[in-house]
Amino acid sequence: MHMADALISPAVGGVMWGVSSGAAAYSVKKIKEIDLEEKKVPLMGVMGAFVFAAQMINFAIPGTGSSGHIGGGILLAAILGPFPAFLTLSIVLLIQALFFADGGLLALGCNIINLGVIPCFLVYPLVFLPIVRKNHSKLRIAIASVLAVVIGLQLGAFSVVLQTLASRVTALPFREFLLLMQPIHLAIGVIEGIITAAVLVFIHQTQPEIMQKVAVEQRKSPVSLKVIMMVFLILTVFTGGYLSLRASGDPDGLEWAIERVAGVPELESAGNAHQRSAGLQDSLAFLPDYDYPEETGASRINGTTFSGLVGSLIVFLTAGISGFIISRVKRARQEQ
Amino acid sequence: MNKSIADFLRTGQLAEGKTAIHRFNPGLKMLILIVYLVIVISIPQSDFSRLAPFILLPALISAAADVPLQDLLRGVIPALPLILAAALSNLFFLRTPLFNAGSFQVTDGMIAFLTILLKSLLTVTAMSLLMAVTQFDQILNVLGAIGTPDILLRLISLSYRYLIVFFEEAAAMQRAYQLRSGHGNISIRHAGSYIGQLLLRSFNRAERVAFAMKCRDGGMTVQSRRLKRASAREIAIALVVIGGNVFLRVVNVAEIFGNWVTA
Repeated sequence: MHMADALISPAVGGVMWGVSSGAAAYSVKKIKEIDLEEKKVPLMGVMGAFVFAAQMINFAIPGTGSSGHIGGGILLAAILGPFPAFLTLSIVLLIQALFFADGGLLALGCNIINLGVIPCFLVYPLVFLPIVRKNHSKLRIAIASVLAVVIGLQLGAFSVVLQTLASRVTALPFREFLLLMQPIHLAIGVIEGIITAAVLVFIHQTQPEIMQKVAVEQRKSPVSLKVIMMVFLILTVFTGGYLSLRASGDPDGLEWAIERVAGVPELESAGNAHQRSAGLQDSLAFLPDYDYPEETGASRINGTTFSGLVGSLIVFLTAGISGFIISRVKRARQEQ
Repeated sequence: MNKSIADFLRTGQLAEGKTAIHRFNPGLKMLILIVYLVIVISIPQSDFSRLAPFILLPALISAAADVPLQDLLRGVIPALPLILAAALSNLFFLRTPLFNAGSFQVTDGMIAFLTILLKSLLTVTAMSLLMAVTQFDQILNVLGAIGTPDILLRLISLSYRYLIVFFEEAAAMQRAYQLRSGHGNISIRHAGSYIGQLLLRSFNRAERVAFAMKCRDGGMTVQSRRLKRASAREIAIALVVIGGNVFLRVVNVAEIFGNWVTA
């Protein structure tokens, strides 16, 4: 469910980076406040590596022929507490983006919100903790795990839909996009939830003090509901109000900047240089009478699109040939 | 599992290169990457031709840095399901015809589809390229220099350091399970004890790490991170590259080329 750079606009990516940075700063502050730094940092670092390794292990699902793996959000929150879990997950997502190109650098903010903020600050305190607070029985842990993972993934998938639609990269309508995303993530959530439940029950049986310690810490310094609500309020106001208004009518950031500097929405290739190149164009044109549809009003755009595609092909060839020449020259030099 | 370990190690090996691109100031490399990514994702879905020239930067840099193309492209696969879901929908929902190529009608949805795929290819390639030409320590130095809190730097550093240890540990467990069970797949019924064991081993290891860190410097001081100052030449090169990218965003070079041959 990782968002990719190609699916977001700079505005959405920027806002999500801002909110996730705020959540990270708040978590750092909380960890320092409750003096967890010295004890928890090595554990968080090692647990980050653990999540990677655990996600690589696929478990066969009987009767389906498919497999599933652990998510990590709720598991880490139950083992480390929400603030350390959030920071650990953020680092995991950063390393995934850097080394495995899973998610992107600009989409990192979106991924931290969807896979970090939602499970750690929303689902863990509001779903998981209330169920296991009274007693850490096997049944309660299992129910809490499955419910929390399913709800967390559903909210995360919903957030992906909102972020993609706010970025205006897909023509898929809201309803269809939801119908595509939510059922898939419901199935994934159930499997992840069962695996998370199995692991937490195992931990509860072998070393119960681990989860109980977190529950005690959580009582001393709970996740502030006010802070959660503020973060989501800011997010809603930004995406629902400001961004959608700008996305609908205004130019994007760079076009806005160009408009401010040049006074026109986009710099055209017209001008003296363009006129001078006209003669050259005529002599180079090898597809002068290409067949465009006759629709009125669209022919200029259509012709432009076709020319653009031909030009793109030329650029691709140029890039490929340039890369090939550079490699060859370098190899020849090395061989000398 | 083994493939992930190999990919991870491969990126580290590539970053050890000695080309001019590898030696270039890491802070400026990251700045160029960020500007490049922002410009690429700012291009509308309908503007494929404006996006096309941005293939030049990764093509030229990967050639100059001796980074094989397959190492850059392997990251595209994990992102594909979501990208295809978003991109394919454009084929069905955007159907305004743009032009005919023989009997084949090209629609705006097809252009949007190609644009999303190309964007995905460019962004993933650019990211992978940065990691293939920059050592991880240098990236940490840049993060430290821009004010990332110490606690986060320590976390990144620790997670990175123990990543390979845990990969190997998980791979060994998987091998042992497969040898005993006689089949390749790990049953979901064993997920609890399997992951749980790995988790408890992580806890024990973390405790040893914490003790070792305390013994070494009596606390949790982080190694001071020094970022090499960029030379005037490096700054000039970075400005030219960034300027080139802004130019390509503003002027549709591919369309100009296209007009020359189709006018």
